[in-house]
Amino acid sequence: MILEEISLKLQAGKAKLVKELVKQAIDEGIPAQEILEKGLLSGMSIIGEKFKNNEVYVPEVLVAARAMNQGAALLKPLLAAEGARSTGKVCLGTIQGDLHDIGKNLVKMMLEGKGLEVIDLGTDVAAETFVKTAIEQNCQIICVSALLTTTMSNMEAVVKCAEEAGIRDKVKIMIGGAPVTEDFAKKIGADAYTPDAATCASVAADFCA
Amino acid sequence: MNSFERVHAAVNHKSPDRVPCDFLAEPIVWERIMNYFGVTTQEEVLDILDIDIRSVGPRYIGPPMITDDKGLHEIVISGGPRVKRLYNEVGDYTEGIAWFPWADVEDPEDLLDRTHWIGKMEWWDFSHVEEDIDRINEKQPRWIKAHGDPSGLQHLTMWVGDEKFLCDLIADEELAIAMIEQANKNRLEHALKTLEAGNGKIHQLDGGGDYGTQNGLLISKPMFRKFFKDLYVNFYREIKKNFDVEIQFHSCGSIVDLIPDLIEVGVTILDPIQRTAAGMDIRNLKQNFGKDLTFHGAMDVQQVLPKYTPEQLVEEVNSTIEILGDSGGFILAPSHNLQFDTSIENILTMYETAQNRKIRK
Repeated sequence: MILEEISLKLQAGKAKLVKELVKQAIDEGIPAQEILEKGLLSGMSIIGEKFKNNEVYVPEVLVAARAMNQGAALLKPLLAAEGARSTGKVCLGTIQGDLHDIGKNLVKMMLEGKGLEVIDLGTDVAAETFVKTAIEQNCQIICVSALLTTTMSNMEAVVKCAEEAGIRDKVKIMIGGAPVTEDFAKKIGADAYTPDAATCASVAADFCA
Repeated sequence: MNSFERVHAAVNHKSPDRVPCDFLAEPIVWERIMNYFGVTTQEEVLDILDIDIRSVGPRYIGPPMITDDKGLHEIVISGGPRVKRLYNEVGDYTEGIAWFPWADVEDPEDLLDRTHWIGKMEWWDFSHVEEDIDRINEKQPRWIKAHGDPSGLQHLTMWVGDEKFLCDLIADEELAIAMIEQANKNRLEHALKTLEAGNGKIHQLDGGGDYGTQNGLLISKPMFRKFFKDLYVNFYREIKKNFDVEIQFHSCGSIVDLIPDLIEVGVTILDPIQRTAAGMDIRNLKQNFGKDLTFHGAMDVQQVLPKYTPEQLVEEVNSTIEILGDSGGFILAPSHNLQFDTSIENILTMYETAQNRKIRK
């Protein structure tokens, strides 16, 4: 069946084919929401799980995400017309002082693979920017990444800033990155630490459920 | 034992008089430790810490590296990647690549006339290498290393951009291979010339390519074999044909699955042993690969050096030496450049414990 085919081709990173199949599914009259969930997101979820288990690696995830984005672009106007709403909204970025972004970008792909809307603030992001974006865009989650032990300490400012802005009970703060640990998350008062991109997306989806 | 004899014993899996030591640090740590000892050169710090290994290499004499109108400055060579410098409250900075010279390459033809890491051979002056070694060895014979390797994954991602190059490995193999080949130009010649200039006084060639993440490999083993492994086979074969040197290979992260392949291509020293990464437990590494490899590094900069009390650190250094240094095969060093969050106290504690002597003032 076509949705299964979309999922399989997405897992193989075949962006062009995914795009064609999504077009075909739309022409067949399958609702956009169903194409998204049973085709694109289902494929991305399998890739995420395989990535977590070291069955596939970063290049496979990147090409799968690229295929997902191409398919999703076709669905976007239709989803809006169907009145579909994303399951949740996340703003994410690499913490101030840090320019490393491959981990953060993988998290973004996995979050989108769970159907969440992601606002990517990029790298070297100030605590205030995370919180301001969360307020203005009504985000349920702030995701913060760091690679360096020396920039990781800036993550605490995000928690403090959310407290000062009075949104701490409205937003979940999730942190990750190579040197980050569960203990550190507890120490700074973050809501969750996750060790990999797929787990981050699962936890984020649960927060938004 | 002098430094040379000490490292020579360790890499030949014989017990040295004490564990050999190496030192790597960010500029601000260098500055702090020079201030602490009241000296003005890095060489003086290395002597005070009795670091057994010294690095030599040709000097870059190519076109000057520029800072562009956005304040990004070139690294490696003229036309190389451009980094952005970020300052923080303690006056230190971090650098990250913000501009990639091959980001626009979409076709093998776009690579014509593009330079990579080495640039042109005439951009390097090899004439002083032996002189530099002789000067180092005046005080005592040290273990001398130089840099040289084929184009690994990291060399490509630094020039092309992580995501683009990693995607190209699947989506456009022909382009990926063309980029790898272009990036590999001059690398062997550069390494051979460096060793030749050392006139038999260089003992180790350093290289690597960052194939690991905290949780596993960055690319699959079949992909490593398909795109990169032969480069190492051929490169190290040529090196070993002409020079008797140890081959050190650097890769951050969890690379336990790649180690048998690395041994096969000729690697004899593995760096930096990021033991907090998945599968990089030092007991297992020593047990499974200790006969074939010497381990360089292992003093963790993520959870240990910045965070441990000196008492905890003494225990950590001793247990690491006991495990990895059993019958040689270990050179103690930080697992990455020391960052400003590691105190002078902990740096000194690490080397004092390893060398069983007082170094601090």
